[in-house]
Amino acid sequence: MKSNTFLPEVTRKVIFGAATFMLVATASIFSGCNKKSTSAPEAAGERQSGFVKDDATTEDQGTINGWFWSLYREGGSASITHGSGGNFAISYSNVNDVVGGKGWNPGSARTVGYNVGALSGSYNFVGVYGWTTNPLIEYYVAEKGSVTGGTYINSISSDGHSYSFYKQQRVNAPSIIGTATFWQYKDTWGGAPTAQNRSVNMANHINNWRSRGGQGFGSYNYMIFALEAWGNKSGYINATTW
Amino acid sequence: MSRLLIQVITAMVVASACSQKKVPDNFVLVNGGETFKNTKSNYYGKSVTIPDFYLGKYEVTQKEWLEVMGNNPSAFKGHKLPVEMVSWYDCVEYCNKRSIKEGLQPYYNIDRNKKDAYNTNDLDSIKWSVTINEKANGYRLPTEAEWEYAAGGGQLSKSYTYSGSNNVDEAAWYWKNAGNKYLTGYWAWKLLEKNNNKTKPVGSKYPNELGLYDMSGNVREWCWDWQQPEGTAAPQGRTWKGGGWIGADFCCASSFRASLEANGKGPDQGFRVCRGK
Repeated sequence: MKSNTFLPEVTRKVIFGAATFMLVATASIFSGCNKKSTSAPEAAGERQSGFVKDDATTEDQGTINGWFWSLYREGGSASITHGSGGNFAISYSNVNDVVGGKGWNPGSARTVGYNVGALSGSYNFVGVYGWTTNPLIEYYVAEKGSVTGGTYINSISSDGHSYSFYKQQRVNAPSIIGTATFWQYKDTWGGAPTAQNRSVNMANHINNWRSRGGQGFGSYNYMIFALEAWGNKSGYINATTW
Repeated sequence: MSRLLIQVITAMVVASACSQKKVPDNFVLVNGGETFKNTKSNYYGKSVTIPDFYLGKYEVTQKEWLEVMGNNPSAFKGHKLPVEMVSWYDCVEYCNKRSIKEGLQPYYNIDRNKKDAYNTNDLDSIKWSVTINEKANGYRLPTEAEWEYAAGGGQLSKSYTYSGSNNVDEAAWYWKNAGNKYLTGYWAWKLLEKNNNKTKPVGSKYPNELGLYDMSGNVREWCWDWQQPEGTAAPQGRTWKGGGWIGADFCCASSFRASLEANGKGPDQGFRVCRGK
């Protein structure tokens, strides 16, 4: 029987990072990735032309031409730069933790296109992250890095490769509806090359989660393409999603 | 002659006062009805009768909790802040203790030694058997229907989405406005922590049509009812309403409903009490 473990003092930094990119265990580090120039592909519909916001504040959130974005940093330094449409670049140095990305609200079973034009240094996760409500589900698809922990369920094939699906229950943890008990669905591939137009067919992941997750899948809340790095890491990403 | 007049007037005033029950301090009389006027309510157009009842004007504060329970479990300390980190069981216990303290009849029968067979949630290690004394005049948790009726403005409803407004920032403390600066972008727990998001003193937003504060936002409020979420085989917990400082705006809508294990606790989970008229 699980016990309720919610911290008595929320303001303290505790391991309870369920809400954002709690990539439990296996923090595989992809170091030495070659820095390559971005070849941002054209996306249907959402892409905006022009350089929208240069050198955003160190940690901030906002909405730019219909895209919403966030950058969180703890320790060290980090900054985000927005290119057109779904393009963003994050540079970070000696951070305890950095999380940043761009996405949609609400998410959907769409095909998420992306191109990680440049990725250097160390990181833990690059991929798709989001929430559904009713039931409350937090989900991850790791295109680079990994997100595991919990119970291995099965393997699915999508977009030409295989993902490992893990599910994990979070009890009395912070969530988009407040303190909640909910499930995380986590699919890991990790082998995405840089400087290529790639895709994540979310429908394949969601169908598998629906059929094998045991908890169903709810109404879409936000969904983003993002990076997370923690543990005194430094690096750089320039990615575009569409 | 003037003395006689004063005596007559005094007698009339006393008689008038005795003919009406005085609304307890910090409570609002919610006049019931057979229809929900709020068109956004889950109960709108349905046949649900709500009785007259008194509902706390504010969420139960830490001061009120401390006076009754002798402890303060809250993550964020302050007499005027709502109490949080309280389970549903803690709250029904509070209701009974406060009733006894004030000479009222306890509304709940709490049997700590009898496991509630209806409660099959493995995460709930308490499972006290709790039943009600329907005619008792003591404090209790509102039912979900009572809560939603009152939050939606009762018979005075203007059909707001949130309690007292269609603008969530006017009505509620929630993830975007409950910290140092106004957050935008997407919800992320780390951002909330870094922004020092927390509870706020009760009554610091505008009241709704009935004069109730913080029905939307600040802390989520336990209700009496069980809830069985979609896709689950059995009820998982007790209903909470109103959303809190952690959650997104949609949680603050009066119609939003969700649940938590009855023994669950969180720094955004509190309650308010009500009493029968």
